[in-house]
Amino acid sequence: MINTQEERLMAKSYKQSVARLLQRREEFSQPGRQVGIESEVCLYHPDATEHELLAIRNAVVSEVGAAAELGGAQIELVTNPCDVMAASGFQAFAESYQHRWNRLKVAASRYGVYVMRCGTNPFQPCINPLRTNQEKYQRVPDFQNHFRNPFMETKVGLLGTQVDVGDASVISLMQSFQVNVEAKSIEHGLQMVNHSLMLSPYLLGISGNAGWLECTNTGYQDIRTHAWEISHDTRTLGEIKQGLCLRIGLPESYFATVKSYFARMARYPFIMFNPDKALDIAIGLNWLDARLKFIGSSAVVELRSISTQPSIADEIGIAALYLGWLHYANCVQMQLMPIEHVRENRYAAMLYGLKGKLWNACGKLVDATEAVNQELSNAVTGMKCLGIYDDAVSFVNPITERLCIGTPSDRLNNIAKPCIVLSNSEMLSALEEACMVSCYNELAAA
Amino acid sequence: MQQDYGTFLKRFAFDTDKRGCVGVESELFVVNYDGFPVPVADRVLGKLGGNFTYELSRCQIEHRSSPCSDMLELKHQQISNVNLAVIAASKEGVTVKALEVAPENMPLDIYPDNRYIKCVVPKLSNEQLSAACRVAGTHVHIGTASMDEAIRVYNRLAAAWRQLAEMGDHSGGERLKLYRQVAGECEPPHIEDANHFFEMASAQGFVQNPRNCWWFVRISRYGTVETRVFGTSPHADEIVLWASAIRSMAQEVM
Repeated sequence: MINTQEERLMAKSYKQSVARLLQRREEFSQPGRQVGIESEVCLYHPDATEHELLAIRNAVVSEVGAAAELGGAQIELVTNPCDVMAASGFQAFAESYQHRWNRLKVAASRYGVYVMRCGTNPFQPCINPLRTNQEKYQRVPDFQNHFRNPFMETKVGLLGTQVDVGDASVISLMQSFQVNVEAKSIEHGLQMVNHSLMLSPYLLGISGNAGWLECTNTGYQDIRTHAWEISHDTRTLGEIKQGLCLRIGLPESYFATVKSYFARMARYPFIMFNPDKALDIAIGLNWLDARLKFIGSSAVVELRSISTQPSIADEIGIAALYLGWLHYANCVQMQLMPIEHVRENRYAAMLYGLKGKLWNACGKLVDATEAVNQELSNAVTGMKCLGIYDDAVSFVNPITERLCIGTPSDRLNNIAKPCIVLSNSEMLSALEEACMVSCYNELAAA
Repeated sequence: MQQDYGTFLKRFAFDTDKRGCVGVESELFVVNYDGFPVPVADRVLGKLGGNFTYELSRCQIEHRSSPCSDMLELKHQQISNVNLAVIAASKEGVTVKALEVAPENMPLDIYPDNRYIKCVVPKLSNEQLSAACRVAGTHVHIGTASMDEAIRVYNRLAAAWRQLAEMGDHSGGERLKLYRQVAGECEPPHIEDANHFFEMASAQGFVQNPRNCWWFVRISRYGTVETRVFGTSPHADEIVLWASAIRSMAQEVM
């Protein structure tokens, strides 16, 4: 299952690629103004077979120039990088995303399929779900399944009925959106990664939208990343004893140096074999809540912890808050909170969303709404400094209102209440009522 | 005798709602910033809430999770308790450490509790007192619905105690060696049925109080099966792994 010779070659090539990249680190000196979004949605039709859905997905992907993902029903939309600080730059960024989304809706409407904007796809089984037939989408999950720690429990659920996520392919049911932000340098990018890891649980707390799997309410606000962690835990007992963390989520500590960032990635198997792409493969498999990647001569920080939101406006709002908060943290040289507080915040946000307790930046454990509110205020201050507030405020307000009305997960759970397990048709109705799924009429979509 | 048997069974509070739930008790040493135990547990505990309690050694505190049906819930509580303990300890100029066996020259101050001072310590030799103070561990409970089920789960876990002990060992066996110095032979025997359990409890002196059973695996008064062979770990993932292993084995017979 693991080819040690190939792994050795990949490791050697990775090391060389990193050395070459660091030799030209000055090329990565950039204005740091470009921002982009990647967002995953999935298709659903109650009467379509898995293979019919796969064929429709492939047709939609090719029509709109989007990308396929691991899941056979998933589609990823990617915006072009936009200079958000240019005059009307944020507006252009929002319009660019809206344009892509509209194209997708039109294409989906031709096939009469539903488009779901939810962090989990509750209609497919967690074990052996439909996967895209590409080498990386077969080989990587198979590797994880083969080496999964047999002692680690794979069932999840807080409400009595549990769902087994013990198949790495479960990720094909998970949709997220990622915000990509250009850094001014590699070092600046690393600082942004550290700050993003710290901020991420607050954004997760207000954005929970992934509680249902197999039409069952897991009771989680957002189970997406945790399902990833469970299904991809290949650590040996010895590694767990040493305190080594997974390549998913949060590292053991913040990254003190660029060297430590690259060294950590090299600790894990590459799984794929393509020595010319060793660095890209390692970055692609670096599933932390935030990561640093390299596109051309830009160092780009990617926030990865937030589930796909019920609307693109929500995602634009969260992206604006993220940009504002990063700018604020940079301006005030914000101190990093103890990483064990971040770890607790992260799990509290996944489990309880805004109903739990979170550590705030002053080292106090407070109601999640209070902690999130404080960081959103900082984000708004940062947005004003960046000059994007006026264009972004209409997107941001519905996000901050969640402090009072709850998260998308709360909304869906309230609709489904008191049921914990739904039929497919009940699930679809609940998602429609929560505005998380729509079957677009071609004319309206256009 | 029959009346005693009935009374004995009533000492175990089985709860069907908590069947299969796992709970964890973990001990931590209160240490100075050089990592050496210091006898200020009472001061640290004064700043902590109901999830924390004291131990025999005044250099230790114990934290507990609630019964959890989901392992992330358990992991979150483990991390949360340790974070709270670190903050409370820092206010006293100390910290906490998941130390499995403390140094021989650690202070042997006893926590100011009457039961310890009047009933426990007088029965211990100096060596036993030292051994009792120096060790810290993690106890994993799994909820059962009845005595019959508890015995099935107990027997499954008792049969695996060596494997579990190895999994949770960070001291090369030193912790369990010291534990045996205090509690005597702790290897959990096979239990045939509830009557047999009652007979053993009568013979070994815990029929009045199941807390006085010192086996590495025991049926607790909370209606749980409690596995007591694990050491301590600073890593919540490792504790969750132990709890996962316990539940996985228990579910084979539940």
